[in-house]
Amino acid sequence: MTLDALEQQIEIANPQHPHCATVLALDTSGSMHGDKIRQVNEGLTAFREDVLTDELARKRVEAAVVTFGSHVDLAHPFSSMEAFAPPAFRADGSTPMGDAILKSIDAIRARKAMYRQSGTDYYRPWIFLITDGEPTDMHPGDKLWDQVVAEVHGGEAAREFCFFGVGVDPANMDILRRICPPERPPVQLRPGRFRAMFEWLSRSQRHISASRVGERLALPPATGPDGWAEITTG
Amino acid sequence: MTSTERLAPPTLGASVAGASHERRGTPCQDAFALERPDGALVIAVADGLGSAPRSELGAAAAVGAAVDAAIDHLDREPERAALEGLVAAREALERVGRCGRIADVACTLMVVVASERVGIAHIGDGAVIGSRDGRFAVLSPPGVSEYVNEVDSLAADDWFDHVRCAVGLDGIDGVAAFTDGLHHATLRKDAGHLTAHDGFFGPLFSFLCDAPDDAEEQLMRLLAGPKISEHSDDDKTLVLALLP
Repeated sequence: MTLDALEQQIEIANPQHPHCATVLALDTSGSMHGDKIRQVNEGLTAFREDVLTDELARKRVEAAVVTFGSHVDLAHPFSSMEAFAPPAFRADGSTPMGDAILKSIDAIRARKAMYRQSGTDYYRPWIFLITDGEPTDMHPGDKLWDQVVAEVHGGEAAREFCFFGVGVDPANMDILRRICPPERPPVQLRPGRFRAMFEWLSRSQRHISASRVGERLALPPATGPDGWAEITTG
Repeated sequence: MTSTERLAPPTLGASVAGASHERRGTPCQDAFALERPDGALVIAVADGLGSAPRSELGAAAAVGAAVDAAIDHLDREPERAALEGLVAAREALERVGRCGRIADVACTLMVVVASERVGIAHIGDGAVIGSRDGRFAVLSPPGVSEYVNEVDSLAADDWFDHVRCAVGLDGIDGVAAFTDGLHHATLRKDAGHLTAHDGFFGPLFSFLCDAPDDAEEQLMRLLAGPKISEHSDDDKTLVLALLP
């Protein structure tokens, strides 16, 4: 038998790529108005373009967008990067972060259920939350707060997803720190470094979608002299 | 069947570097070893983890140590001999990793021993399948992990908790062992149930039974070829053997 004949004869059992899902939970409240929301919109476009340059990642990375401002909205359902075309977001309204986090977790769970049903392999999904304020729909100790914190901390601990919180000045970092999982405290965006943050996000997704790990995955550095993030302590 | 074939049933194995490894200039981190001592068959296949900087050294050391130790224990049940192979491979990793850290040489490992029956010891992903009368079944599946990039390793502190042993059914006439770069080509998931894909293994075992002189080279070219590489840029190893 010749090689060509052999290659023709074999059938590939499961001809699909594993998927790598991220929900971007974006603060679109009134305080994001102006330069910040413009940079978020530009960052999303750059994120898409950067992932598309990677032959493997473009077949594996999927993203969805949940916005929270005048209301909580699954503004873009999960899609491949080729089909990823979120509208230009406008900033207005308050900061219903609690509901947005729950909606993001729901989106992750539904996506995983779909992967399992179709026999698609997948990587651990990410929730990447960006805010410049503090939640207006929940406060420490109320019912929604307790539910959100339990879901985020529990989901991270059970390795259901990775939750990343990014505060944009003047975000309430103390509140954000209490929401974020203790094993992954929030970082603060350096002024105007939205573009670098989205580049880091796409680089990380490209890295993950080609990874295989025994213990921990090392992500590209976000902090440091050329980074976009600062770690705040408090 | 000629008398030579009766003495030594055909075997075939190849490892190829994935496209991502070639791009990054990293070597192929898979390794395999195959021996046919006294009418038995011993196969070891290891996949060095991409997250471990020198995992190609770990994979090579693991398969060598595993095959040697399994052969030393061929007087035991085959699954026991396979387990001894796996334990020896762990010790080999400890030696290789001593100067750095053992995590730097982390790899998965499958050890297959066929004597009076087929016995397997396995940690991590990759899989072993068996053939019987032209049908194929999974003998040892990939270790369970929810996420596709997370895998148990022979270098982990709790490695022994993740070792799985399996025994083949009666009447198995051939086995194949392969690394995770070939999961997509070889395994089907039907409603969560994992099966070996006849459409992949059928032609390959026919090829093995009637293998040309350059069969190994052809297998390498097949593994590196577009049909298999389209959905995986990882290293790929496939070992096929008819049983004595």
